[in-house]
Amino acid sequence: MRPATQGEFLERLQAHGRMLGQVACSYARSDADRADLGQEIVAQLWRAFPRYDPARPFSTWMYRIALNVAISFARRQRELAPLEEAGAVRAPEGQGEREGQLRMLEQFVSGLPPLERALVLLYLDERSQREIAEVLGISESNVSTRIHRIKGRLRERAGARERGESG
Amino acid sequence: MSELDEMKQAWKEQGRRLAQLEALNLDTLRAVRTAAVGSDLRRWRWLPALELAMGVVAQLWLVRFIEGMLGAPLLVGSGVALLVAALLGTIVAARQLIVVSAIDYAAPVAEVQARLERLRTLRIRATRWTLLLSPLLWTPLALVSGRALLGVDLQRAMGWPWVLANLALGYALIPLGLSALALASRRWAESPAWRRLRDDVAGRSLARALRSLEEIAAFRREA
Repeated sequence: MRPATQGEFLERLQAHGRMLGQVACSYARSDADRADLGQEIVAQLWRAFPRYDPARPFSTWMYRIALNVAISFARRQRELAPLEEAGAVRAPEGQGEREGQLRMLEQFVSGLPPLERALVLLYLDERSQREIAEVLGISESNVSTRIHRIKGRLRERAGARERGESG
Repeated sequence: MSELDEMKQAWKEQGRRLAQLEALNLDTLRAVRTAAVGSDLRRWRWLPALELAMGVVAQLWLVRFIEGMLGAPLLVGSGVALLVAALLGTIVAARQLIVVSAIDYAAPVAEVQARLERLRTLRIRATRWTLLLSPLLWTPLALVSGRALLGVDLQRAMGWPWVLANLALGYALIPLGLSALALASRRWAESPAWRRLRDDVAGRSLARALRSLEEIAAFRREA
């Protein structure tokens, strides 16, 4: 175990703030839940930081912890409030086609089972198949097949949406 | 723009906005360092640790009680019933602690989630059996505590009808308790604690946890 410095930790945390924000947003239902989840992830990262091996990629280590905390958090929230409608919090509303597509993507992602959601988050963050496999603990071929299937499902959903809009 | 790949850029832009919204700053770290933030694993640890400690203390006390009551078969039998219950509780608590201590959040996600789900099934099963069987332990508990705390042999003082009536009451309490729980969870339908208790006893929580375990196993298998 090496001595962990607050400065080093914060520096790395800030560098990966976007990823943490997206994980928190994808697994929390409300702004308050997202803030709680963000804090839980940071807390767990800080506790585990002394055991982090600098020879290994920080993003892989961070993604594993963030996703594990987020999935546990989401499960706990679901058990506490099963009567609420499931669904992740949305980013601030914007205008235009891109925002509309983004809303659809968010809805699609929030409807996925927790592990597939994690896989899509990693893929959208342009992680390599190898890194996705390492973070999730599945084979690269499994990652590849699942991404292919998810793309197909998204395409179907977009097609149905377009048909609905034109019909 | 319906392809996942085409959405990567939009996703990144959204992520940049979210990063600004997140309070990833010194205040967050200060809260973390002052232990203001809990964690799932901490919550998973303290309860089995407490159960383990209480179970060990109860067993030690019961062994001494049984040794001192060897001439009174009913009290020995009651003590042994409680000892077996305490032993089983201790084993379950120890198993939970072993599972939770093997969990490292920096391990691959599917592996950690499978371990957490196994821990959940263990916990739910323990709660369910404790709730279902505890009414049956009422009579041995009354006999043992009556002798230990008040110095009274309740069987001699109250007679066999009292012992048998209490045993029957214990059996009757199981369906009565289940009905009361169903009624209470309808009355307080908004209370997560009641719903969770009802789901634990009815086996719904266990079914959900087992479904999650199966989902994780399917995810780990080659697609």
